[in-house]
Amino acid sequence: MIRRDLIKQIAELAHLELTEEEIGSYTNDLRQILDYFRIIEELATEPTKAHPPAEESAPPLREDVACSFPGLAALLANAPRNRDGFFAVKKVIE
Amino acid sequence: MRIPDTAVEIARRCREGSLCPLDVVEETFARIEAAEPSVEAFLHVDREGARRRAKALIHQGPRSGERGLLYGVPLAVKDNICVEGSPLSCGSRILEGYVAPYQATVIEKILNAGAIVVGKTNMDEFAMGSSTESSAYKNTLNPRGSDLSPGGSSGGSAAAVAAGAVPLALGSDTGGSIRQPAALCGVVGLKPTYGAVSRYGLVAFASSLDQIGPLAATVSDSALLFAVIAGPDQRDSTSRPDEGPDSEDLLAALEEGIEGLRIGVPAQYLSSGVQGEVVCCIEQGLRFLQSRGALLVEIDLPHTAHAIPAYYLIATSEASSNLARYDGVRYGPRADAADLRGAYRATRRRGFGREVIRRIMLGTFALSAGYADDYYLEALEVRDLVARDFAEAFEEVDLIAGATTPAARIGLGEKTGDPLSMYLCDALTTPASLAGLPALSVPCGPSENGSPVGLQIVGRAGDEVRVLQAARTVERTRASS
Repeated sequence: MIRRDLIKQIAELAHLELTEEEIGSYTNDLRQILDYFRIIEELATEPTKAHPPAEESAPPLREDVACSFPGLAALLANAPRNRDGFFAVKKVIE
Repeated sequence: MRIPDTAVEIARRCREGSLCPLDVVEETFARIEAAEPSVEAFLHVDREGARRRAKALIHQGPRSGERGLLYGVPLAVKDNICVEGSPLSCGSRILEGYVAPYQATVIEKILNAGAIVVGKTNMDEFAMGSSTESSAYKNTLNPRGSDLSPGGSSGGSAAAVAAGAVPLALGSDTGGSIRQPAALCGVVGLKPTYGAVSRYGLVAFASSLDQIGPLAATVSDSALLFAVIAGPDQRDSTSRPDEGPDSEDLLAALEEGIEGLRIGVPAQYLSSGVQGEVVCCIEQGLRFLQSRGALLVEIDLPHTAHAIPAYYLIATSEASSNLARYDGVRYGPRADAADLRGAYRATRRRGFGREVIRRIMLGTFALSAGYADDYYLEALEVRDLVARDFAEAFEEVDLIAGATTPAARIGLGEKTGDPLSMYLCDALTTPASLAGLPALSVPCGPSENGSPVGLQIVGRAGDEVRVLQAARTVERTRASS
């Protein structure tokens, strides 16, 4: 089921540049891992799946209040390039 | 200058004035220098910062309350937790040169309690691994054997404590990353209840599972650090509203014992896949608990074997989303390319190591159109079944105990070529992670081959106190046996 073209497509979605050799290697890795993971498919046929989901408590919410962040300069300093208080990247609009 | 080995004792003596924080810092650096050549636990050691901090602490008055619970205690921090002004790499090239611009909540709390951060510890890249070998920078060695891995992903923190370089360290646990290295290095590691400790300032791997927790040489030190870092935080929306325990009450409660507690022993944690030498030590640990008045009850956690697929599908799905932010725009080195998209792809290709790429690929696949129903959503249902197993068991018992790891040791390089066998190292730690429960590993070995072995104790959500009480009972009984 896991084929090279699928792995290429996944790498494209994940913004990863992979060599042909790496595509082959990750195809084998994912095939082996997902083969093992098929043990959870057995559960799909068991009646336990019909159980209602466990109760989940909603996370506590606080007021959404805007506040200033004092570390802006330190944040920008971590970027490879910044200009006029913004992260600088290559031109994306012609 | 000889300093005590435990954080409780260092803090007590520094508070009363019979020990000076600056002497503690100097002795700690001497210990780190002695241990590092054979352990390689640290990625960054901050000598000047720690000395400045110790001098500042000395000027704090001795009046009650001014000198905190961790006053003068040196502490190592896993390199995925923000310490303002210190480098943070997550063991990855993609964060090379990054300096944390703010303080994690746990760091604010330990500093308010008087602790001294001495350095950042090595880890598997982005906490993805069980041997610390996926770090882009170096391998950490297990102080119990130079050909052994310390486990992972908090291998640097566990090894630093096991080597006696520091009494306390912070780690993070997503599927066992505190408990497993604690077991393999012979120290105590606690993964608190999901939400008990703020994750603000922890670099996200899998947000529905990540938790920060203590690694320490003793149960009391683990309890002390847990009491300091626990509690609600408005900056973490998954933070539990209940206040953390009072430290003095908690330390006193540790000595109360476990008379009459019902402890469930799941067959799955002592059976297939668990090595014989591990089983022997775990059975001895269980006898320790029984000898102090606990009632052992056989229980069944039928979906234990399904936890690994569920965990790895959920964790990698969340990781594929969390790690999308590393594109060379805001942090780390940026690779050059003809256009922005090309720069993203080349930056990620160069910055991420093999295991991180493998997991991003797996997670992207599990979430992709046409496959999400069969993988990600199926895994969420299995997660629910695993949580139900625990919920049903906790109707009958107060705690659950079994092995932390299937094997007592991992040789260096033993599993790096076989990702699935590395994933299976987490077979017994991922279930409690999926259920969000507090779980701790306490030494109960050594095995017949001299390796440390960890007894895992799991409690109900929010019941760290009983987990720590049982661990203290094992520790005390083992010391006297």
